[in-house]
Amino acid sequence: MSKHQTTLPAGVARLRRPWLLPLLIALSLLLPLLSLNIGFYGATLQQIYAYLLHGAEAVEPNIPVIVRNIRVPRIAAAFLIGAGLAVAGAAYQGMFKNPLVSPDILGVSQGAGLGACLALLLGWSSFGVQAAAFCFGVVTVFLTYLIGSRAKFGQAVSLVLAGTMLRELCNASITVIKYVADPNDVLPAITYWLMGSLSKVDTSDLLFSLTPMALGMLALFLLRWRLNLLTLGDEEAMAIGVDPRKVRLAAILAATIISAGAVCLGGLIGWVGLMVPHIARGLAGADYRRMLPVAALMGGCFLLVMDDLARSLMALEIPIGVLTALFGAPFFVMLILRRGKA
Amino acid sequence: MAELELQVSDLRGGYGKKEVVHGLSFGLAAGDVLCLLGPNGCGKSTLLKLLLRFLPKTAGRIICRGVDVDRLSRRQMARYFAYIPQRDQAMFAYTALEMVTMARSAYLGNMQTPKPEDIEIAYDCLCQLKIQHLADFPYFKMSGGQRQLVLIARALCQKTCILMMDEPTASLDFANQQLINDAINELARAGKIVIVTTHNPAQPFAIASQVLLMREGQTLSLGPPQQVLTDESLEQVYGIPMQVVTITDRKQNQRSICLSV
Repeated sequence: MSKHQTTLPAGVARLRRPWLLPLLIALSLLLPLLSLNIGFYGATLQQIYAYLLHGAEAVEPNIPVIVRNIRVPRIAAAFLIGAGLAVAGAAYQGMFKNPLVSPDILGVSQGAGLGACLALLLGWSSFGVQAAAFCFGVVTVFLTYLIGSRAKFGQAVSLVLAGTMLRELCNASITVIKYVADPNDVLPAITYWLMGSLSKVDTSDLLFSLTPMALGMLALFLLRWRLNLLTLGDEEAMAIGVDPRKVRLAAILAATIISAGAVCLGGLIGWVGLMVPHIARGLAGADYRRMLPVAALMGGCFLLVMDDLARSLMALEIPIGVLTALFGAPFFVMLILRRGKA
Repeated sequence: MAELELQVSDLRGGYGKKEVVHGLSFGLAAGDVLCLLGPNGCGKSTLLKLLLRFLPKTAGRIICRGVDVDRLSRRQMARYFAYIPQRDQAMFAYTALEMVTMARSAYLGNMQTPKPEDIEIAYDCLCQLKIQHLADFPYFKMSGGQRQLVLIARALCQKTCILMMDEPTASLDFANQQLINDAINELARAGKIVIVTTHNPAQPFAIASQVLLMREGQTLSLGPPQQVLTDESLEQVYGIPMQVVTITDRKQNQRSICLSV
């Protein structure tokens, strides 16, 4: 089969910013390597790279343990969560035709938070907490979808309304749990979990969340062109031969297991899923075929840098959710103001 | 007489239990432009939605090129009927070419993305409407007339025999209305069936081969504009005194316009 010769005139459909994807790929390879050097234990770059290149015998015995058990899982988790939340946020923004939507629009984060709080209250193991968070997150979205799809017309709006309601319900329940929780040990644990942190991530946590998140991201990647069609609205999508309900259900399913996995791994980390797709769209264009991979890599790099800052800015680790908000909110305000002018 | 490509018989339906369209029938051949004319709430848009199967019909048959439309899947359906909505507001910065390429979903599988051929077909459609210079221009920055042309290009890109337009000239300035009318005439010359809803009783004279004058979901009269659009029939539909005036313009063309008197 011969390669198709394009008959498009030169300059039509030219790639904007062709350097964008290569740059992000390079950063995605480089940043994790640099991040290995950051942390509480003062290991020098030479020591770490000596370990990576020559094996455990070449360095003092602490280095391999720290790199393998603490830093690598943490770096991987930060990148995975950032990429996942960015992709999930991008998908939701498209299907709700709203660039200000974030991945928790249908209640996945609040549901997962409620699950985790319940499990902490009942004194479950850390695996139990994770599993409860994941299940509650998925079930909350399922309920949202059930309520939202009862409406015969305007499914998108019904979904948003149902999601808002369930989010508030979960928040209220979390407040009740906090109120009755033992203020000496359970309450701090709940508060800490809800703040969002990667400091306790280990390999088993990572493996727990990796599968659903990878599957969800793969599904969205395969659907990436179809996500464009959802932004047209239901009637237009139907008119060009697409069943918007099916595509939306598939995308919601994928985005939900991604977000639930992310929340299990790092707690509630806001702003990534709202801000990164927005920037990715601005740089790469609206077409999800290009925007989705850009958002994924950008989200991964962004959260990795945020986590590096979280563990190096102060002697005490800053919760990463706080940091993303501190960086995200002003950045977003600036973006909106600049957009308004242009 | 040309063979009918679209035959609609005794079509009924509406929203839920409320029937809005009470048994409409018509037949159209290639190159026909049908204007749906009638007051607000007479069921023009509902008729479009029933034809496109956005709403379920309660009775009647729609036969397109010998195929009963009920038997078609959404994707197959999109190869017969294209829909041009009233120009909508876009949230995201899709380019015209990206917008038009989306229509190729009628020919692509669930996990497929458009191939280079699909993008070329889309570009050809832009060329047909002479808006290829807008290919890489963001849709949401375009004027109303340009957006409408992009949506028509998207419908062309579906390669259907029938195009449906919901008030294509509403809220366009005079020059842009003319632009869209010309585009519709061009489509008819190319053998497409075009179904257009309108609130402008003179528009059928400029574009239509057939007018369906509607009131309360029923046919008041159906036929060529010169026959259907008379002082009496328009008065009956709009409830105000009307007059159809025919003049000869500077280029010696007979032109008809509608006035309230």
